[in-house]
Amino acid sequence: MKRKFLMIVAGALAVSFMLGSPLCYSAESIKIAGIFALSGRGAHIGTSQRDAVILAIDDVNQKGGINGRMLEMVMGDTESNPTKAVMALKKVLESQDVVAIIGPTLTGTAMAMRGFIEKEKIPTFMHSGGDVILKAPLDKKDPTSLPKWTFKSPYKAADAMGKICQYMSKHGIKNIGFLYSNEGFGKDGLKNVMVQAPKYGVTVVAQEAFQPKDIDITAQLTRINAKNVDGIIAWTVGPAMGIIAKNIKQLGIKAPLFECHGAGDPIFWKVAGTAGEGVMMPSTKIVVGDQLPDTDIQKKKILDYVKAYKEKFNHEPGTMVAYGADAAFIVIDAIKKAGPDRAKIRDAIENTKGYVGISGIYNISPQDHNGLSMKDIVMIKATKGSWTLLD
Amino acid sequence: MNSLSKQKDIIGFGALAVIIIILPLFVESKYYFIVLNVIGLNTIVVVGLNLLIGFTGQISLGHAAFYGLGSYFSGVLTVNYGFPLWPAMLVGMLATGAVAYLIGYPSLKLQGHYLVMATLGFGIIINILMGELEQFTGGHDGLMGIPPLTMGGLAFDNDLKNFYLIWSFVFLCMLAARNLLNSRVGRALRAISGSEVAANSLGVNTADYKVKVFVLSAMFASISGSLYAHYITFISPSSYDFHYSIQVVTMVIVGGMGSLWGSLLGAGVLTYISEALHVAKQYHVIAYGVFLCLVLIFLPEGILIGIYNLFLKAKTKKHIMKADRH
Repeated sequence: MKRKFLMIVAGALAVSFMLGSPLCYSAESIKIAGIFALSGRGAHIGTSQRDAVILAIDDVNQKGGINGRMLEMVMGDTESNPTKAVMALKKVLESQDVVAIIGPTLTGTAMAMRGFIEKEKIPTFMHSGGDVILKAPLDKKDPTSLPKWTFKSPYKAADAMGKICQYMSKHGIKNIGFLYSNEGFGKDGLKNVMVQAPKYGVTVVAQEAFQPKDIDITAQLTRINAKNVDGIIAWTVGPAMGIIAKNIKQLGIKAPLFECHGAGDPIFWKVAGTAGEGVMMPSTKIVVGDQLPDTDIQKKKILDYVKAYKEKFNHEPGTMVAYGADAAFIVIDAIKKAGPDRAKIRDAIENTKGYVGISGIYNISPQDHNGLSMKDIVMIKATKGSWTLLD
Repeated sequence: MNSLSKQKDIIGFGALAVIIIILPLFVESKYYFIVLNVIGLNTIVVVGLNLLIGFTGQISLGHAAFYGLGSYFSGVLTVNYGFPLWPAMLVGMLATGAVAYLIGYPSLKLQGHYLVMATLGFGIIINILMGELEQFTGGHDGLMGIPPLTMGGLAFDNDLKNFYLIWSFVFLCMLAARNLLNSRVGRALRAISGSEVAANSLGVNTADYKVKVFVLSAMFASISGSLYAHYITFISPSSYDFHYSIQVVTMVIVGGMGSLWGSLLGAGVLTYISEALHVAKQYHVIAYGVFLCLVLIFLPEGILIGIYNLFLKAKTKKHIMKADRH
């Protein structure tokens, strides 16, 4: 009898999966797609970016939508996997009237989707970090074949690295050690530091790699410390951000630690604990909104957004949220200007000039589908579970 | 081989061919085509892996690497060196087979589950190499701009054309596996799966057969990998990590070890379920796990044989009840 009951439950589940797929549409809404890493290794970033986009859309809808039409998001999950990302994209494209796409989260998934996006001609605003998304030609033989329909909201990793080096040279830090995780993001950082450091008279005297899943990095830090460095840059995201901070304290290394632009997020304190105190990093202004001078034109926008975010989701937004929010705001603005037409929306996004966003002021052009510059980045310092704005 | 099961096979393959040909008439959505195509790609890997798991009792946890080798041989040779497309695929297949031989030869000479260890390590090494050999593979950023396959003047550049291409390969691979199992080699393999010692004593060179089957299953995975690369046109190391190896082993088990049609079913059901479960939003990972548990608890022989057995049981029960009444 018990067995029979379980079989019935299993059967009912199976039927519900088969029926579940179609989405409900209301006749008049304008649809945009949101494709995020909602599960898998990028889930902690993807979910906060999803929340950021939901907040932006709710805001528009509460104000009466766009010309009386509500905005609706069709959501897709990349599972942090390139194949699944393309599947999610095609699923979203089924609802033919999706006018634009926001996302995806991770660079690998973005690269897998890029070819199809360009072929289908859908304006897409990504919030994945890799500069390669905009830099790599679509056709390897033709270096001018850069993506036409793809945009991205996070500032360039090269600029973030430049910002650190600029700060270092200003504060007399000359010889540095560079520590990076041995995967795409870390190695990209290594390339960038080799270009940026000499520009500001900073010399990389030691470089060490570690595996992203390492639980102890003291060996590498000891080798770096042996070179008498004045500062250390650690280029990684995830638990290693905290491990490095802890190891430095344990070894009693005095040289200040700088981390990457992904560290300015509440997750940093979760992994670093009290050892995070004093770590410096480049960041968007979202985490230090209240410390900005009143003359900063972004200040009001950031404070309003942070307040709304906290009310809705009951926790502090981090840098990743800013990227998701800006992607959504710019796309929504383009729809307001151009109406629900894919090609016109693309042109409107490309002509976004002086747009005051959360991550910075966007000046998008045909040559630059990102639109942020080094001016939009601030240096912050981790202090008592929060952040202090540095000069 | 009796004529009855031969007849069954003819019906089975005939039905598969008919379904492949007419299915596109009923499916309009591009999304369902990509799901079907991914099912097809997984099926090719699973059919090969099932030959290994189902008939020699050996498990490989490195099939993601063989799948990846196929993808990367096709991708790197065509993008970086301008190789013609089909020969690149063939080179990939042969090279993957050779690599599999090098791993299988020493580890399959040993009694016990040494192949699992060897393939586990191998899979991880290959995955790291994909990221590290940047000048060839494009590193972690991936390799882009892989051209679609062409045949004559026809380029397989959309979901529908790829559907026919991929499923033709599924059909051929399944047919090859079926013929293999019904040949002298197949009988030897069945003997090994029955009892290795007995097979050995009857003059079957078990180690040799195991290596051959392993090489063959790696080549199947390589074909599938090449098709994937030319279909999605972009590859990166994250598609070929350890999870994929686990996923295909799960498909073999859910479909039914040693069952050819079970392989098709296992790949189909698991690929589709993991997509359909997105309805459950953030709970889809849990729902997927629950589904796997249910299958393994109630249908441990795999879906195909399990359901068939349930059906038989119900039938005999009815007979018994009828007999009781009389």
